[in-house]
Amino acid sequence: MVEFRVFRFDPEKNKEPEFQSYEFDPYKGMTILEGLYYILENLDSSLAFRSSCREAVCGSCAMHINGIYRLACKTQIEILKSPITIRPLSHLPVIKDLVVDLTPFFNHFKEIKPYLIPKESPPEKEYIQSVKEREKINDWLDCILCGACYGSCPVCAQDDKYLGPHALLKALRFVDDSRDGGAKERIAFVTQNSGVFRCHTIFNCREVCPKDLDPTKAIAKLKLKAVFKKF
Amino acid sequence: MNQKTSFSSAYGWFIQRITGILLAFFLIVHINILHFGEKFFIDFNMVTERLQGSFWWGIFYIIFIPVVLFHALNGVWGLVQDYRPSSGLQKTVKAFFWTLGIVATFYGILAITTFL
Repeated sequence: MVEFRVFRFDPEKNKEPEFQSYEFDPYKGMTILEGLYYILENLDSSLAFRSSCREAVCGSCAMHINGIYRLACKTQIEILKSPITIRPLSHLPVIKDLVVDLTPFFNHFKEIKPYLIPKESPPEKEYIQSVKEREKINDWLDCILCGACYGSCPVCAQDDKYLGPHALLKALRFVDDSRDGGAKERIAFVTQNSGVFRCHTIFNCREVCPKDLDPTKAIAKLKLKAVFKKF
Repeated sequence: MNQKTSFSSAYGWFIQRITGILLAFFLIVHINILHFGEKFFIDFNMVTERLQGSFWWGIFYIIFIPVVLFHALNGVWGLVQDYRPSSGLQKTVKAFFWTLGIVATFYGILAITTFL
C-alpha cells in the first residue's frame, strides 16, 4: 500500500490549498505518473495534472515529489518513502492542483531568442558545422523545458524578472553554436540586471535537472563571456 | 531582448572575485601578524612599531583597505538586490555605498599614512 498526499487547489473555488490523501496498491515498476493516472481513473476524477509522452522527453510532468523536483513519469514509486507528497512546480501561479501557468517561464525563454540568428553573410547552400564545433554545444542541447530548474531556483522565487536557468542555458546553447550570428546581442541581453549576474550559484538547477544538464556551469560560462566579451 | 543591459554588473562580479582572492592573502597575513605573532596582545605601540618599521606594511594596508571595502559593500549590494528595490531606491543605495566606500577608503589611508 502506498499513500499519495497530493496538493489540491482550485483558485476559483478554494481560498487555501490543501493536501488530499489517496491510498492504493502499486504494481512493481509503477511510476508516480501512473499512480496519478490510477487516482484519476479510479479514485478521484477531479484531480488535475499535466503529462504527455510518459518517457521523460516532453517535460510536461515535472513536479515537486517528496522534496525534490522530478519528472513524474521517470520516478518509480518503490524508490520513495510513503507517504509520497506531491506539489506543483514553485514560483508559478497554480491553475488547478498540479497544473501551473507556465507563461512567465516561457516568456523568459522567448526573450533570449531561442533560434538561430543568421550571420551577416549566410552561405549559399547551408551552414557547415564541424564535429568539433558540434561537440561544443553537446552539453546544452538536451533541455526539455520541464521547469524543474526554474521551480528549484530561489532567485526565480524572489525576482520574477530573472531569466532563469532554463533560458540562460539555452542562451549559451546559441552563443556557442558556430552557425549563430546573434552572440553579441545575446551576451549583452543576459548581462542585464536580471540576467546571469543575479545567479547565486546555488546548484539547485543542476541537482534537479532530469536530463543531467548543468545550467549552473552554463551560467558561469556566460558570466565569463560577459566579462571578457569573447563571443 | 528588450530589457536595459548593464555591463557594470559584469565588472562588479569580476572585481568581487579578484578582491576575494586578494582578501584571502591579506587576511591570512593580517590575522597571522595580529594573533599568532610574538606578542599576544595588540596595543598602540605595537601598531606604531610595525607601521613605522616598514614602508611595505604601509603599502599592504593602503591596498587592503579599498579591497576589503569594495568586497564588503559590493557583497551587501548583492543582498540588497535580492529584495528587488525600486529603481529609485537602487540608485540611492548604490550612491550611498559608493560614498561610504570612498570616504572610508580615504579615512583609512589617512590613518595609515599618519604612521608612515
